[in-house]
Amino acid sequence: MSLVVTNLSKKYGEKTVVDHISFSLEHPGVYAFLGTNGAGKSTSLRMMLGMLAKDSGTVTWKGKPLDTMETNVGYLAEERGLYPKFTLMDQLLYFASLKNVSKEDAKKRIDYWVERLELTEYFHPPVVGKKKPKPMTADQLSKGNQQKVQLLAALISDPELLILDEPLSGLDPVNMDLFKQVIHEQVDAGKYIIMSSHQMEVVEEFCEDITILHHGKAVVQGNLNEIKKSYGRVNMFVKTEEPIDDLIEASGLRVINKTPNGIQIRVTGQEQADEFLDMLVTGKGSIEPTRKTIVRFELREPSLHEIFVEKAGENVEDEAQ
Amino acid sequence: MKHSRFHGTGKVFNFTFSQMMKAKGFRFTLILMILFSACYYPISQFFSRRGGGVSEVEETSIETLYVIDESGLSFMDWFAFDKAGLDRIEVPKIVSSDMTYDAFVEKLKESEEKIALLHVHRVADEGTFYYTLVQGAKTPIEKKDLEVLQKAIQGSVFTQLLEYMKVTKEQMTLLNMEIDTDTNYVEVKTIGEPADEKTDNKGVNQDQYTFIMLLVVVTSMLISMSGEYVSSSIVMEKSSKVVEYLLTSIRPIALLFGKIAAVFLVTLFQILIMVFSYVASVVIYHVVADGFTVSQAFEKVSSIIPVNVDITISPLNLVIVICFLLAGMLFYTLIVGVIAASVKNVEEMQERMKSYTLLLFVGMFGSLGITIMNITSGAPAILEKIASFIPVISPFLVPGYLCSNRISIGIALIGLAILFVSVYFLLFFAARCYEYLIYYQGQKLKLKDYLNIFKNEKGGNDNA
Repeated sequence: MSLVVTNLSKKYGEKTVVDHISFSLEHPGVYAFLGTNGAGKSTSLRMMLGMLAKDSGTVTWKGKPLDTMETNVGYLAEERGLYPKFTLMDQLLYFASLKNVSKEDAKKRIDYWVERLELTEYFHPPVVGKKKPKPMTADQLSKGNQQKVQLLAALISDPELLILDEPLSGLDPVNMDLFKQVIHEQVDAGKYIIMSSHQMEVVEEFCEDITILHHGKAVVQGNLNEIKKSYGRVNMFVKTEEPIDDLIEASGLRVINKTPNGIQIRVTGQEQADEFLDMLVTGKGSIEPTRKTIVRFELREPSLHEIFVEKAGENVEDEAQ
Repeated sequence: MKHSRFHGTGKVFNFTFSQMMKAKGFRFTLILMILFSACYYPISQFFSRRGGGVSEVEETSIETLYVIDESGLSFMDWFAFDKAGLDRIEVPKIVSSDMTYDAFVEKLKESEEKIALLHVHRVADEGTFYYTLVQGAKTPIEKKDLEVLQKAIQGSVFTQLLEYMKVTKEQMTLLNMEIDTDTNYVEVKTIGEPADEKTDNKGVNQDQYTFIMLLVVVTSMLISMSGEYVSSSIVMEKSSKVVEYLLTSIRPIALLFGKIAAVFLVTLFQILIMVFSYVASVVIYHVVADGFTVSQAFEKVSSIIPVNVDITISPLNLVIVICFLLAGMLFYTLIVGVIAASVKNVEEMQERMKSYTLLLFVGMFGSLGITIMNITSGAPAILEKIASFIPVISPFLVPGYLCSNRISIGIALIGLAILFVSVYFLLFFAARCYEYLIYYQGQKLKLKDYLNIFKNEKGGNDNA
């Protein structure tokens, strides 16, 4: 195993912000760290990186305590940060030097990533007239472009372990695709990545293993497919041309969501779904016992989003009680 | 290979130094400082000479000075005003008159010319020579013109008298030396027990005062400028959140030290540039305006800082002074670093820096207060000694007082040792607090909060 986190805990006064979290990265890929705002994701990541002292727990990398001074770690912080008034090139060269990357290598890598992340016009502004353009500073960039520069900073040392705290938040769809491509490339290159995010569809695209944090506790943890399987195929989506509210009521099912695209219904499993399908086909139990015209009928496992909302919701309800 | 806690300090130093030197604000301030230093001397000289204040080149509107010498002083040469003791004076035409004093006074009454009379006579009974300058009622000569001439005559007579008596300048200095008496009260003690010595404390003289004030000002500049740079740099890194990225590659204490080292060098560079500009302006001014040679002009520069019997700048003193400046700067920048780390953003900085500013004022004005007491009535010697041992005050006080022979090398070394020990402990305190506070986003901290952080040794952010 490469990264092993065991019993990581942190308290501020009486408040526990991270409560005995354990997980491991066994092979290259993306590990998702999910949670609501204030769930303890960033605090956990900071403790792993050694920026914050932990109350208990260990973090090891390849069998030794993880030390970011000794291990090549890339980090994209949730709270983005660049020197606003220094030139982009100056600060990236500085970041590279702190990561023990030689100036020549740093320049080569910066050139590569500048082109890959479509930042050329900001690092090498076009010459207008005879005047040589001034190098650009971070405060001259849009938020999205600053985020790209920060991703560049995280990748500049070609890290073995990459920690991305909310890497896709605030990006437009085009840049989000660009970031996703880069993350895929890093996975293909055999990198270990820990990613925290609120965007469940993105996590589902990348991650095999997840931890969902809620108020500092790991409420769901493990392989995403297995977690979904454990829930079973309990989500039924139905769309018919005729109204079926009386049928749903008659069969005692619970409507989760109702949209123009259909109705999402919670069932206990395959058997209950088959019974309902039979009712739709035969019209049995309906006020008008006629066959319904089925446009869509789907039975599937819950999405990560649904699991997340359910788990976080459960905890919120528990606390309210 | 395991890296030390200070690994990367050099890289932070290089980056901070180069970025500070590149900053527009820094270059603008530097140009202003150079202009101020370079223009101060020539402008002050210009106004001083124009306003009739004390200056080397003095003018008089008197065109002709008539001399009636009834003193019988054979050595006096009234045509040798260049020996007046003043460097330069615009000398009127000097004519020896054969007229009697009364006849010449009658002539002056009606004259509208720019002429004056110097009447030299001796009153044997009083043992006094009188040099009387007389001007007519209708002459346009002003009183200040006569005063200028009066100074020149006094200088000339004195210089020629010395030459006549073959007294050298050194002998004259000895003759002029003030003879003063101190009384020491020594209590009788048994053998092996040191005797307490109570000494009357004389105040500082003008040369010492100027020198001490100069060093206090330089030290204050060095410390306050470096504190300002360090605090704004820390707050900027914290408010822009860049510190979070940096801390994956470097320990907080290395980050703080790299900054302090760079800031110290930049501040030192600024001060040296200012000193250089000032010296250059003095030299150029005297070469251009007064026709001095370069070496004469440099002598003029050296006369600005008087090194004499009251001021000693020995190599040992110099080493101690530099140590005090370095340790003092480190002492204050470590404090400012810790306070700045508790600040969320630039807006909060001024509010949170009050305690640091207060401390700086205590140091600065403590040493100034003692110096002012010395120039008026003389501060008790024990006060100077105690102040030399207080780390907040000693960096401002000891350099000037050591070189002015106000405190002994032993006292200075004890003060330095105390300062070093304070810096050593502050270093640990700052390291621990800085590492904790770098993520701190909470309320203003009190001293006891800092002590708790130091005691608990836990990093964290209350709002994380």
